[in-house]
Amino acid sequence: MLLLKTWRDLLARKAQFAGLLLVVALGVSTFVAFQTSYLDLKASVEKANAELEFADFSTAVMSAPMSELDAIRRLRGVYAAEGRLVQDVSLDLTEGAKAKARIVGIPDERRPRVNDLLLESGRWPVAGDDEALLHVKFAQETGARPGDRLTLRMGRERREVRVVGIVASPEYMYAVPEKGSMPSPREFAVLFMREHDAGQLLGKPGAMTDVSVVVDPGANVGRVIDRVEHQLEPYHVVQSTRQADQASSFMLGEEIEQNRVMALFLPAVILAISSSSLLIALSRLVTSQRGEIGLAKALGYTDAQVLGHYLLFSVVIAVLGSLLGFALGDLIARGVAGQYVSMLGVPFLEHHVYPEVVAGAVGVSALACLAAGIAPAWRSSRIPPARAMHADPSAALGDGRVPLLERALSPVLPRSFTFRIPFRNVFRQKRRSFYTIVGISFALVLTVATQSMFDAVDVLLTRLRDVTERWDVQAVYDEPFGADRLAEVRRWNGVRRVQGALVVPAEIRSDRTTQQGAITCMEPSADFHGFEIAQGEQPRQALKGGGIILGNAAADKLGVSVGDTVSVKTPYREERTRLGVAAIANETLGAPVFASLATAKDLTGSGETRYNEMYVDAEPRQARQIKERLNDLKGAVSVVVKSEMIGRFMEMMEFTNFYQGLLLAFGFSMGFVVIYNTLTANVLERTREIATMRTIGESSGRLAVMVTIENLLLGIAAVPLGIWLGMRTADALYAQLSSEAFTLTAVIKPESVAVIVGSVLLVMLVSEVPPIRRIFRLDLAEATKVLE
Amino acid sequence: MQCGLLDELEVCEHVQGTCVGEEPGGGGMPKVVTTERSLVVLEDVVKTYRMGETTVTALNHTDLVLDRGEFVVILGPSGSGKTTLLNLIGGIDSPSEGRVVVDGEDISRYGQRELTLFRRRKVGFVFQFFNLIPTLTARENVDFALELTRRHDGHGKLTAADLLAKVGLAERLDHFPYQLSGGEQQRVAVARALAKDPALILGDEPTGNLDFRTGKLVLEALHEVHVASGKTVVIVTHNQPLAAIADRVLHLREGRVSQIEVNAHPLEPEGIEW
Ligand SMILES: Nc1ncnc2c1ncn2[C@@H]1O[C@H](COP(=O)(O)OP(=O)(O)OP(=O)(O)O)[C@@H](O)[C@H]1O
Ligand SMILES: [Mg+2]
Repeated sequence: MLLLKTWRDLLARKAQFAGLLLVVALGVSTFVAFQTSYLDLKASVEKANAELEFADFSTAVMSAPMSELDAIRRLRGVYAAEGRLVQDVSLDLTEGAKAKARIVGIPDERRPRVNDLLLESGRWPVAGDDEALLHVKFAQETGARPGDRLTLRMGRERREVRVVGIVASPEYMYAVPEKGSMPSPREFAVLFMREHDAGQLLGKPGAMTDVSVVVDPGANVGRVIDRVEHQLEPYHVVQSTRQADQASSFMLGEEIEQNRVMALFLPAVILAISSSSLLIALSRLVTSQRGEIGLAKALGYTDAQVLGHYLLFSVVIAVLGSLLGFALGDLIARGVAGQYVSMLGVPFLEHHVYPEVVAGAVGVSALACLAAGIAPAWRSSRIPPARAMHADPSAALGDGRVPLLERALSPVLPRSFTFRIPFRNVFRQKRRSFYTIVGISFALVLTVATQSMFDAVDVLLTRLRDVTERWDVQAVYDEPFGADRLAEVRRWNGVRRVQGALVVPAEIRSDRTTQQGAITCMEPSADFHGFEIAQGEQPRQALKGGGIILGNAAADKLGVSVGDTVSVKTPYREERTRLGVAAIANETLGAPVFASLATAKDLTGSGETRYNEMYVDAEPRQARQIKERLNDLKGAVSVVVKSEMIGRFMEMMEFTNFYQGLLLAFGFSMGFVVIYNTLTANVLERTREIATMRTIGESSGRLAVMVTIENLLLGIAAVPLGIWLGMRTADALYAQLSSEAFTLTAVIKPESVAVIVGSVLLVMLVSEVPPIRRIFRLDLAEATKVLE
Repeated sequence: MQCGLLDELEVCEHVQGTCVGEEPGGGGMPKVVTTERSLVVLEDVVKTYRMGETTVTALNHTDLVLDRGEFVVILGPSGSGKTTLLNLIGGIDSPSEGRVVVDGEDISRYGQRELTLFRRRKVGFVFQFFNLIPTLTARENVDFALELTRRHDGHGKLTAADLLAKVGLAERLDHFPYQLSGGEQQRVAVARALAKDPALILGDEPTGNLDFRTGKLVLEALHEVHVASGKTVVIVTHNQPLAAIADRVLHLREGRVSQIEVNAHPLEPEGIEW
């Protein structure tokens, strides 16, 4: 019998029930979508790494004979090893533009045993014919195809190679030349050439500059590195890079880590929102059915039966909601994982239904629904029958006085009941007001949190453009030059100012850990980089005093603060240099380290001031032309105009935007449903009251105005709360997400707030329409006679 | 507005003494007799409810005339159409066939907006379940109705306090409904009905939810209004003895007025027992 009632309740509250179902389904589908796409991404990357024998580490040497490889392969713990030439040269693009080309050698007669390639089209090259395999990222960006010829430039010399195949590589899934640099697939081409041809091309036949190793299962990577480095000792080891620190792998790792955090964090937020709105809805259901509950109990139903009835209601919602959510989530995950994997250039796509995700979805939603259902259900079963049937469910709670605030505001409030009744309701129907405010603010949380991510990136870009990067053209060279070149460039047409810097690859060691990276050395007075000092001396003093300035991410990782010292090792000197941390600066991108050019002399052991980077302030119109000229200077590796860099950054954010757009869509749908549920319940709860007013002769229009005013009052209270909660959510998320690559803080722009507030109001108005219409179509005779 | 109906109909003397009405509707010609004192005229009214396949006939070709200043009690078994009749008179519902004329207005073809205005101007309701607005005090509940009328025709001679005093609640002005007993709540509802100074006060079992003593207080309030300001009061009830205070008693049976009693000497509410 009570089963029948459960069913009737569902039917009678179709709209509300559908709303609740949607809330649960949305929660579950977010969980499934984000968890599954995270696991898919991880599985795809792992599959690619395993299939293509991605190196556990690579050791870079100045130059060693290929013959050393046999000895290395025999070292304990080495499963497979390949030696190859790896060197960056310049690639001529059309219209005089240039890109960086990385030449990577592969064995002459076979596929590599470490860092294998996946041939996507074309064929493998033949040694001796100057043929090359082109990495798929560059090919996609530029439309290059097998059969194309590429012109390489090494100093003054030009060489042509012919592309015979397009490949994917585990080393360049994220197409970045080195750790921390931004992916610029259009300006970074990786060319795989037969050992013989690469040796010829680079003028180093029979030599290798990189040894890549896959270790035996279970071997200690650190020990194997030591053995390999020891073996290569005579050939000047530059550095060894573990898989996790390898440029592409590092970026992918960050990406996957971000995904992991998002996949845990967001569904948790969403589930919290859905279970609380479920709790609210069930509470309201119980409150509005006190009479029936009393009756059922008076008729002899036990507490347990009544409890079971309301729990059944939540279980039905949980089961249907998670089924619907799972189907939707899996569908979305399929799309997202596919998009993601192809965007990242992972050559394999894995999509699975993960038992743990299924179990998690069902378990969590069942738990959430039961948790939400149990309190109201318990409350319902405790209601004594007599009280339940007699108490007026819509009776106001309170001390029987006109609310203080209203009495205080009385002189300024409009006298009309059109304003007074809504105002009174807000204060006297405390439970309803509370539910509404909580509902609306929860609805806002996700939207605000997501929007604040967009805003944070926007602020970051603005900061990059206006604060941090104070130059127009940046040029990077792979061989150092002296002050004479700066002087030469200074004389060029359109050049306002030139500043030089030397970027030194370095291993920085603190008591806690070691960081591989680079130190940017500059004049203490240089201002091409804008600092925001968080701790310590001003940049000029800091650099002049021979100290270093650490970006906050680097300082955090190293676990150092101002006054500590770190020891620095560069490839140019055997001895380590000890340097004091003079300041810590807030840096949004990467983990940069700065020192003075005087310090650079210590680090490199060279007597004169040399540079390998130039920062040029240029007349805007001539920036492109200056870029070309800088490119023509010997050893140019990359020359960028700032606006292009920002543009590139935005390109990099493209997927993030897609991902967050999806989230925003989820957040918005969620918000819509929650607000809809809240307002529907709000209006329907006072069916009799509204019907009475209509019977007395109040017009529908005014009643709608009254309901709207009341909801607006509550909305006004809820919006700041929602924005505040959303920002705290974003903060919590950023605390998890911020990494070596970037640091974000939650911000929300006033215009976003305006848009959000506008949408909330709109959603509120739209949500009011169906219940109000329902009440207006209601049979007055019925509504006024039934004791709800 | 003068209704066409009144012109066509024969004007005759009001019948004195007790009479037993014929069953109307069977003879073809409507047996509606109106005078200039007629306030409510129902002419061959049919009300059916459609519920899926079946239709329920709640009122079956009913004719009825109620005069100004009359105190009318409607009696009848459950399901006989009492509430339906009251709802039609009060403009809460519209007839399926026939005409309903109240105070010269033919409301049977009115739309929602016109019905709202009609209810606002002409009718005061007292419900079985009081239906006060829970967030408003007694005074404010009455004020709400007063404001409605003022908004309509701008006169403001009545105050909530006066009206509540009339129903004996001068001491309870600032109490919220849940702080009042059922009888007190119902008297607030009476005061609210009076606020609009309506031509017609309708009560569907106004004492149905009250015990004898409090029910009588409410009845007294209604009766007092009837006597003091000559308002037409129509009450539906199940309580046979209550009929003793009415000027006329209508008996409904299966959707028709089966019998009309005229009390030559209606009792005061104090004099009845149930
Ligand atoms: N909304 C409705 N839908 C369908 N049938 C209805 C509806 N309202 C009333 N009826 C039917 O019309 C008939 C008359 O109903 P009405 O409410 O007028 O009776 P009543 O005389 O007031 O009864 P009671 O004394 O029990 O209140 C009944 O048979 C009832 O079932
Ligand atoms: Mg009835």
